[in-house]
Amino acid sequence: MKTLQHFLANQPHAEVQTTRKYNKKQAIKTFVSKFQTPFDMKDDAIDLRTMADNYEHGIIPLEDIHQAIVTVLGPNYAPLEFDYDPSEGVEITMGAGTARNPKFTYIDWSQAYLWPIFQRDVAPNHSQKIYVDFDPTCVIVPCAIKFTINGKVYYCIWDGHHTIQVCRLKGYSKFPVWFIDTDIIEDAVIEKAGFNPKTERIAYGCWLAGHNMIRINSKNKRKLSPYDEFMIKLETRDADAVAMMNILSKNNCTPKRHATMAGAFTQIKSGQECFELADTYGNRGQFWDRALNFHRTVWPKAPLELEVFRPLSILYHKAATQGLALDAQFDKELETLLVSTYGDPTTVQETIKESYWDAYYNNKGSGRPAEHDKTRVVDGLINLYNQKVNRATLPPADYVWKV
Amino acid sequence: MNILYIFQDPLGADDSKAGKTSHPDVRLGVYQNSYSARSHLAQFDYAFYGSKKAVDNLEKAIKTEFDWDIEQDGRGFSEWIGNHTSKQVFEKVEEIIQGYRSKVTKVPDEFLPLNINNLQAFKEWLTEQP
Repeated sequence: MKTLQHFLANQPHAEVQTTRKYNKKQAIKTFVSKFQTPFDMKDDAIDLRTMADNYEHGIIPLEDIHQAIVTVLGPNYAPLEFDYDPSEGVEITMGAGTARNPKFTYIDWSQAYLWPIFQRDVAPNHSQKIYVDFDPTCVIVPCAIKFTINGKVYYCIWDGHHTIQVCRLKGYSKFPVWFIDTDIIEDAVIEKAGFNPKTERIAYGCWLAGHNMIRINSKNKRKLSPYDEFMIKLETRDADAVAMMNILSKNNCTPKRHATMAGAFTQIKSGQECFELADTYGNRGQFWDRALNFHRTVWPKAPLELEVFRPLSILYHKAATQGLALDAQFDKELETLLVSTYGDPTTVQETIKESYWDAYYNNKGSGRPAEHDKTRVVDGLINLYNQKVNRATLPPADYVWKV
Repeated sequence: MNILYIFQDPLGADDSKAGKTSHPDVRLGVYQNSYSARSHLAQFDYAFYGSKKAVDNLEKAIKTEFDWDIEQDGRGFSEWIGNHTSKQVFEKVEEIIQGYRSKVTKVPDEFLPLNINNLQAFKEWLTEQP
């Protein structure tokens, strides 16, 4: 029988015209291949900490990060040329004849105002939070919009109000601001936004400030992820972060943003919760340590599964609190039980939870139903062990069902 | 029946596809659609069977493991692992199964490659298993 390969091999060669569309994965792969130390590049994060390993002193040129961003976003985002110099103020919108804004200046306290129509309420406790942690080296420049009303100049803050108030509390006499000067905005720009430049110049300024306030504080705000926070704390030698990292390293686990490798630890907040579980002397971390050791020993290639290491930490903690010794034999028994019953760690926790819900909705269980997945799996592990092994004495499950 | 299957590009590239199906007969038919069986009979070079959850989670683990070898995302692309023969993928999948302790079982050699001609025999064999 002639095979397709045979058929193709005997056809006259016809050039197939194909224009390959932008292939993000290939573009990223090619980009990363230029570096000695490879690093993750995803839509939601480029792993700069690992990327930095490729540079002297770990300091990365912004141009290289720019190239990485363009690689992820695609060629349409690459600027055609770099001819835009904002140092003398930027055009408020693109187009001919527009005034150049914003500007930077220092203002007096008497010139600083707040127009609540485009600002949120002030929170004294937030100012207090900044005050306690205040350092003049980390003042972000507040943003303002400048109006002239009946000959009087108002700099109305639309971002950084709490910061500027704390500066005042700290005795500042001059205040840095980036500001938009509504007085110099061309009529055409105001008209384009749907306002009458003769009668609604102030209203336009309010609209612009409100719009920008939402852009900065809500629409385009990127919250600091628990992963980034943890890594920054680690770099700055926060005691808890260092202790957690010691436990992770001991168990060959790596903090990661994505679960892309064996031992990847992605659930930072929950990990902190497990780390906090202390013995009767207040020593933290030992139950989490044991849970991680169990996880890595039983499933060496798998990333850490939250609903496995967390219930295990809780179970070890509960047992210790109740004076129940769970010996090494218990871990062996549990390993055999979980692997023979379910296999991989994701299947372990998913199946236990499904079993819980089946018992709950069909009234097959008794006791107090769990309110959270972590306790559902804890109860599931206890019930499963008691039903199949029943050697060691475990803390009682709040909700008992046949797993 | 939930199957995790691996097969190599029948046109000769050293690229392989790893996918899952609960209807292997339908899936083989879909692959057969593009060419005559006189040229090539659609087949799974290697396969594993197990519960739906075990197979689903194994497939996720495979995609994570081969992340950058899967050259393009999107329908029809995301299961093709570049520059890996089906044997190489199979060996890697066996490592993954060991490391994840996945509760799946390899389809016996006597039914490999699995195709539409021996699928029924495999199904019958499977029903006889404890």
